[in-house]
Amino acid sequence: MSIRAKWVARVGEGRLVKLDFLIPGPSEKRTVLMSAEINRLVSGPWEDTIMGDRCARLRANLENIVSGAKLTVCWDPFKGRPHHQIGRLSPPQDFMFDIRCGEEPALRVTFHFAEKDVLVAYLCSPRSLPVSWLHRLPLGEGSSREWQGIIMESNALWGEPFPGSRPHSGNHIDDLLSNAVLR
Amino acid sequence: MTFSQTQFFAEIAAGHLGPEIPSSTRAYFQQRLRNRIFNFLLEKFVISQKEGLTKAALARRIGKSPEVINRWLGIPSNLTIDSISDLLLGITAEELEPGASSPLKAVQHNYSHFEELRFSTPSSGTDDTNWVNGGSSKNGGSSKNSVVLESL
Repeated sequence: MSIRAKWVARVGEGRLVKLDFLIPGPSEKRTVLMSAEINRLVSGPWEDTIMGDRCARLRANLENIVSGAKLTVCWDPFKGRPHHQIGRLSPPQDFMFDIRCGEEPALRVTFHFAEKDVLVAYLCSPRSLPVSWLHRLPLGEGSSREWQGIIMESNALWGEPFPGSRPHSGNHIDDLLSNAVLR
Repeated sequence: MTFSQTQFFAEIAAGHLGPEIPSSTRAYFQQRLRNRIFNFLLEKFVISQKEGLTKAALARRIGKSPEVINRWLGIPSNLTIDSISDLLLGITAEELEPGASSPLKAVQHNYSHFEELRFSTPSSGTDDTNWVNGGSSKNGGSSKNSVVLESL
């Protein structure tokens, strides 16, 4: 069974949720599939709290990815400069990435590519400040125990809907993501 | 409770005498605008970069530090109007001319990446057997279309 058949089936089963535009309009040039956790965060209605604010912004950022917008990417873990929208995590051979949402408290959403331009997003964690509504400790620096934990957990979450399949990989970001800008 | 577009739009469409638009709703639209502005400026910069513009030159032209330029062109942020003006002036010697559209009148475009993939035959590059240990995908890889933003 191809990986495409698998992820299409997972969406049909409701185990992964496809992100749709809240406001119809632009063409969907990429596909973002969400775990139940991410879907809960970005599905409104949002409360008028910091959490609501951050979740609403997260939704807007994920929709920006779906729209096919140019995205800044850090390809080499620990070697890129700060301030990019998507970063590859360590170890690089896992081809796991995170989406960076910079408004404080900054959030990170881990994901793999199922194929080019098909992102499977799993978990959301705070980057440096505690966030009570995420029930996770801040990730801190790249080699922290929290980072290792979130990467292990995300890898395990890939294996559940896609047993026997590896995340999409490549030599260059163009193999995974269209309209990318390397930092 | 699912979040319906109807409910979401009702908050915006309530009119001038309607209740306060929830802060989270405003945050959603704020982020959309930040993303639009960032995308707009980044596209402009990438085009100008191909014509020889560097971040260092841009920084010098608009009197900002390299670190600021890296941040402004790295990830969407809450740029001030003055910063947007400086960036556009420095990148393309242009100024912004605002426009607006109503989300209440948005029209769904027909193309969906998801629908296209769902109904198309997967290429060999998407088979499970095509795990590449750091190499190019079996479908011949892709041309290097991405751009590198040089670091200051």
